Amino acid sequence: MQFTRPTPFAEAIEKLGNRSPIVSQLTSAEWRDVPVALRERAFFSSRVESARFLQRGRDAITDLLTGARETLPNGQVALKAGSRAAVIRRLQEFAVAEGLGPLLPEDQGTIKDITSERRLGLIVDTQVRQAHDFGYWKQGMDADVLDEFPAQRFVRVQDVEEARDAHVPYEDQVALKTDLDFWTRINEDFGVPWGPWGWGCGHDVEDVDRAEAEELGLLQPGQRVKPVEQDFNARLQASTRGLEPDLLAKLRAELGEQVVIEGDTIRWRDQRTTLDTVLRELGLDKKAKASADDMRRLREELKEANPARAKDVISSISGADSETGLTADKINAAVQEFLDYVPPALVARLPKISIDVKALPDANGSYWKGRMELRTDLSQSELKRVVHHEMMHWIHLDGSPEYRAAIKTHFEARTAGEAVQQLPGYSSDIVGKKDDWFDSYAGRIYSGLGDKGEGWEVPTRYIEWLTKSPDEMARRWNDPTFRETLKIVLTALF
Amino acid sequence: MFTLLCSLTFPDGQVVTGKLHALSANEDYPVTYDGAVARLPERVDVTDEGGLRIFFKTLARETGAQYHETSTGEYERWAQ
Repeated sequence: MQFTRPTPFAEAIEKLGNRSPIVSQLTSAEWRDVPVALRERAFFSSRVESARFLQRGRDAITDLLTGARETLPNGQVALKAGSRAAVIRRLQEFAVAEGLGPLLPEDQGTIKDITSERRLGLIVDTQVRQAHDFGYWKQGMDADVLDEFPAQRFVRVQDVEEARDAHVPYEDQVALKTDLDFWTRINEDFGVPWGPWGWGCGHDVEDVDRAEAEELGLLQPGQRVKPVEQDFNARLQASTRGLEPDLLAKLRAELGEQVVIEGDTIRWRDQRTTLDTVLRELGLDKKAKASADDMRRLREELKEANPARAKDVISSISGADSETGLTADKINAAVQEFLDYVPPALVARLPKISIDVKALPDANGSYWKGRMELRTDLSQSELKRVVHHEMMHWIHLDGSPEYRAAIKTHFEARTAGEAVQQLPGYSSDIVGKKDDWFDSYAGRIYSGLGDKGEGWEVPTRYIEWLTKSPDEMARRWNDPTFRETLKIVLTALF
Repeated sequence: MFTLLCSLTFPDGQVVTGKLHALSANEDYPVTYDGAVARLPERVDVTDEGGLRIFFKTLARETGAQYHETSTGEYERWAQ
């Protein structure tokens, strides 16, 4: 079996997305005292104390990894030209707007200036490379890949202004990928067995196949190599335990509430952005009656900084017809409006969608397993709502099992003990539990399908809320029963 | 055609109704009001089935009126 170098995007995106933005006055040198396990799960930059900036930075780079990629003629996947510059420019504008800048005027434009292109470029490049290299490492730990390419060579791939002496003895050295001591010894700055191998380092690794590894005596002919991902994770865990009281006191002083210290163990407090944090930031968590302006702000806040593009999600559109007005351009635009709310990392895990525009006897649209149908004569406003509806099926049915379980649990709790009946307004074959849904269709049950077909129209009908006018959104939001369900539905967007 | 009629009966016996005729479950349609319309602090001109229901139920909560609804007919199309 022959392997090409695998594309690491799912792992890379997950890695970056799981990092907590951590603010602190720590310098790069001081960050080295922080246990590797914590550094590995943090998105930080030395002496940056703006959580909003770090959050924005992490999201922009995650989006960059997810949305702005292209396949080169040689099959390698790379960031699109111009994407990096656009992210740096956006972060630069945001940093300036936040009032961030160097402490001393003479540092302006230097690496100490968070608004400088040089510093932001270093942050973006390091984060992107860390995520990519982690992805390669993780995929290289697959048992079959490891059997074929059990070792790697440390090579210089780029000349740098100040080459570090400590790396010279390792140049062109080959070691097993599973030799954690060897690889973490090289990576003094980050303490992990994958690249980048230090700040501003011009080295990388290249795969070494089994024949060469055996020839070098790194392993016996036919000897299997066991993946060491779990061993490394155990080391990471160990790095957070048994810490000296002095170090714990220092970290507590520098990192404050961002860390949880229990005995001699330290961990990050969970700070991922959730719907609750967004509502808290907008003051909607305690507001008795939301206004249309609140809804405008909430809708904007729910949008992604760099959403997936419709053309990358839609595999084909057939039957689009300029005579009826339902053109491919309009369908693309409607799909894009929905994608604007969906985390690109989630989109990356979902199937592509083929869209058929056709005459449908009693339906405006339907979705099943990557195939969407749209009625030929949908009006512009109907198209938007129907596309939101069908694409929510895509997220609900083809997305995470946890989300599906949350919807099912909510459906069961709300409708416990209710009889199944024909839903008002629908034909005799459309049955469900009417309950107190704002719209009885949310209670529809598809008998004989997965999850007993319960709750499938809850996310779809409630997500249409996003397509309403701000006044209408506010009226619905202010209804406690509607809001309770909507908040569960909206968790799909985080 | 699906028709939803929502009504509020105020403590003094006055009644106000809002009616919506809809071909599609996903689209907004005009609402026609009848009865003690002056008692309504605001009105929704166009909405869908769910919107009309929530509007009247909210008014019922805020004014102490009693909410009631009836529906007849069927939608001609819906998203599924």
